[in-house]
Amino acid sequence: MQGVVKRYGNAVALDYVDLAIYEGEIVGLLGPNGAGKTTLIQTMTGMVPIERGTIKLFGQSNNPFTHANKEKLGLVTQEITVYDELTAKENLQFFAGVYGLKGSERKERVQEALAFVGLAEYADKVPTKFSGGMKRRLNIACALTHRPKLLIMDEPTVGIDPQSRNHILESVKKLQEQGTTILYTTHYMEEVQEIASRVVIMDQGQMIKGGTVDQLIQSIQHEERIHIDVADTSLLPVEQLQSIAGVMHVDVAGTRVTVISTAGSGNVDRILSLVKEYTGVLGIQTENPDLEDVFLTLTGKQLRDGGGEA
Amino acid sequence: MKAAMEPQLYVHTWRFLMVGVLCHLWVFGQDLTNVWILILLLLALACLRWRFALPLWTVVIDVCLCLVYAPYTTIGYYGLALPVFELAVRGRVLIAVLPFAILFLYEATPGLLFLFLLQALFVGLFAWAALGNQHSYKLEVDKQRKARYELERVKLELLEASESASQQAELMERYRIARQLHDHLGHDLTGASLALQAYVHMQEPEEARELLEEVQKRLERSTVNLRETVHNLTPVARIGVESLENVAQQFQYAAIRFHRSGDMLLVSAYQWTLLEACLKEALTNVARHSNATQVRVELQVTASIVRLLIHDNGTMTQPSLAGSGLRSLQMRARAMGGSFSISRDDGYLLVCVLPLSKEGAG
Amino acid sequence: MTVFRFVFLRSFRNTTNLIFLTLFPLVCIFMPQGDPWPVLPYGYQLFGVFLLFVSIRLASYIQVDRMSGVVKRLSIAPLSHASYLSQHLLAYLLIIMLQCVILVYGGVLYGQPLIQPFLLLILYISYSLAALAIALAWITLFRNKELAFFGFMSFVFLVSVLGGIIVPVSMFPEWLARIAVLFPTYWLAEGQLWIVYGNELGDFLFVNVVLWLYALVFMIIGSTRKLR
Repeated sequence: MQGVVKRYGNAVALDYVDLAIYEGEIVGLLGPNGAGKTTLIQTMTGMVPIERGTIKLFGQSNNPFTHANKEKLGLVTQEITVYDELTAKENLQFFAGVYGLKGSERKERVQEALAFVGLAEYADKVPTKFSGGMKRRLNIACALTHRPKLLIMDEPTVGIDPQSRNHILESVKKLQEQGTTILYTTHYMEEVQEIASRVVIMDQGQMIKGGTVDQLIQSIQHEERIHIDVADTSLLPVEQLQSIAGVMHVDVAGTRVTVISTAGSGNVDRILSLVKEYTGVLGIQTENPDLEDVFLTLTGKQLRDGGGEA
Repeated sequence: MKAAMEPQLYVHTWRFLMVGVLCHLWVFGQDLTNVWILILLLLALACLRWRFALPLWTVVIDVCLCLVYAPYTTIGYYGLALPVFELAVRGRVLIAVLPFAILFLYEATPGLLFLFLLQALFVGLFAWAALGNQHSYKLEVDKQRKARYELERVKLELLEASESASQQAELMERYRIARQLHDHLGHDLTGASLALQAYVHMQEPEEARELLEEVQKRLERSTVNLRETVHNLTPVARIGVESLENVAQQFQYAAIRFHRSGDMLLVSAYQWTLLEACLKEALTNVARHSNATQVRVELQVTASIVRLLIHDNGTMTQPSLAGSGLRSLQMRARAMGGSFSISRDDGYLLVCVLPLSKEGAG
Repeated sequence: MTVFRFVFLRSFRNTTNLIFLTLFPLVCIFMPQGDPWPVLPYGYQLFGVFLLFVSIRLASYIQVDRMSGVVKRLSIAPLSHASYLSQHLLAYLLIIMLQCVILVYGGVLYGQPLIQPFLLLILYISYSLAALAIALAWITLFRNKELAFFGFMSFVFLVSVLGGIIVPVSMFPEWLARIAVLFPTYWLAEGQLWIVYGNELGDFLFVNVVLWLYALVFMIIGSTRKLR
């Protein structure tokens, strides 16, 4: 999409947004609450109309939301949008049927989707009896029966146990291997760092920055922290440590000394060898800048402020 | 109540209100029940217009319906208000006046009917104006925002360009120096060195002395060359840390301490420009807004970063944390890959960190 | 036609619905006849009220879709909004038609004096169209399921009384009788009157056309696409 503007009343929800999604990649979409992520997804899929700009879907810019194009789209919604009174299998049959699948092909795809998310044994159970993670998996399965080429996942792992989340992330990676392009919205940095090939950051309706995860982290010269557990902190050569190139701050607390340096200064060796000369090293831990820091630097806001709808 | 500011809402409401008026007329009139069909059809059209944006020619349907019923009931004439309104909302005033002509063909009680149609016309025109204004306002606002974003983008590009230009300039200088040293000094020193080597093996005292003289001459020439080269290099204007020190010394508003550590030569010229600007901005702010009595300036250069720290003990609160001057400095620092942060926990603290390139600024 | 089939599936899963839907018409068949009003047996007179309730119960499936968010999925599916709504409405209409058929022909079998059962059936079907459309418009205007339902109950009561189903229109004062024409229930009562006393088919057609117009108007209102 290019130059897309969308208003709700007088409030501009999307402000000259440009976004390109190429085939086969996983794009992570990050942004605090109210950034416009949901609106972006809604305009991208044709749910709401836009005021200015163009949207090209699968290469078609003139009236892009034809039935043919919609068949190649899949949406995993933020809330659980399945029928509670139908069984898992019936839910999948419904959504498959809506996408025009019939007969044996539909049966096959339903089985496939159930197996893919790991709910095959629960095919004939109703979602009211499922755990949170299982419901989310069903939510995802409903979007997969028609094998979409572009799958949009709106915060698919909110509020579920780590096991289910890992399962979902694995499934997402498998989907990419099978050739699906994925747009993944989330509050969780770890997920994006794990699966996204490219990240775009949104705030207040604008696209702030985009790039691969590494590019983004490099673009903000932030800190690296090294925590070293030592045998005796009183023997530490603090001034010498501070004078090592790149070191910004040295902090001693208990048996742990934390050295904060600029990212990329590559001084871990020097710091360690200096410390080793004076006292025994019991353990080390490094903290690298992560996407949360990138986010904070670029937008001045926390990514996670109580969760909730984007 | 943001929704109440939408002119379109009033347009829709008016339409339904008008149908309501027709209902009222029917209920308190003497018309037959089959006139009710007219009202239902007009209501259906109003709902369609609410739901979809119907093209203007559909007004013809309204008019035809009203005219069909007109001979049997006055409601038909009152119903003409709806097409009049539709035409007025689209700005077609002249055509909207036509139904008034039809009115003059009809005799009985034109007074209230005339006024009713007139208000339809005026409300429609007003809505047309309101909608038109809203549309052009939105267009204008969008254009301005777009222009602003373009401007910011161009600014960033310019900053990057100036950075790369200064880096280029640096490289050119280095090349010039290298060439000068190589051409003149290199030549003479090599010659001197060879002559000395020859001298060591020389037997004849006369030739040996000549050789020594040769060496002396060459060395003298080299010294002169070196001095000249250095002299050419030394800029007259103050740059680098000296300019910062100068700025600090000239600051008379409060007591100021300036510390520096590290190798100043590692910092490149364009970075000095930014650091100088930071210092000047910070000190200006202290002089203007703050009640600080002490200012501490620290300049630290390590192998990979240069850090400028300005701390004062002022407590005056300023209207905004980052004025436009500071914001532009922040952008420039970011464009260089560095950071710029302000903290007011303990007095006023400004920290600017810029990365140094690996080869150094030489 | 997936949506169509699954509406049936969902409604049959709900056993209370099933009982409600089958029992009521059967009960209506056996209710006695008043004299001189209503012109048809009580069960038939009150069936109109029942149909309104059934409409809102059925329309709640669309409401559930909206509240649970399934409409979001459906809006990006290759399914037009018109197709979605029409499949739902068609399914509801079939369910209601079934009940009308049971009522009318059950009554005939039982021996109720229905005068012109086939035309009565036609009338009921026209009225059901209007009732469904009203229910659709109602749920479009009121989002909350419970609120909408209770509001609708009050609306049904109002409409039934003022329309002349509970109390005959002839007993209304002049101006109230005029107002009664606004309500679709009035037209049902008029149609029922015609079935017993009327002879001009044109009048009957007129009643049906009015009911269809009501259906049209409310369907236009109810066809707004709501994603939340």
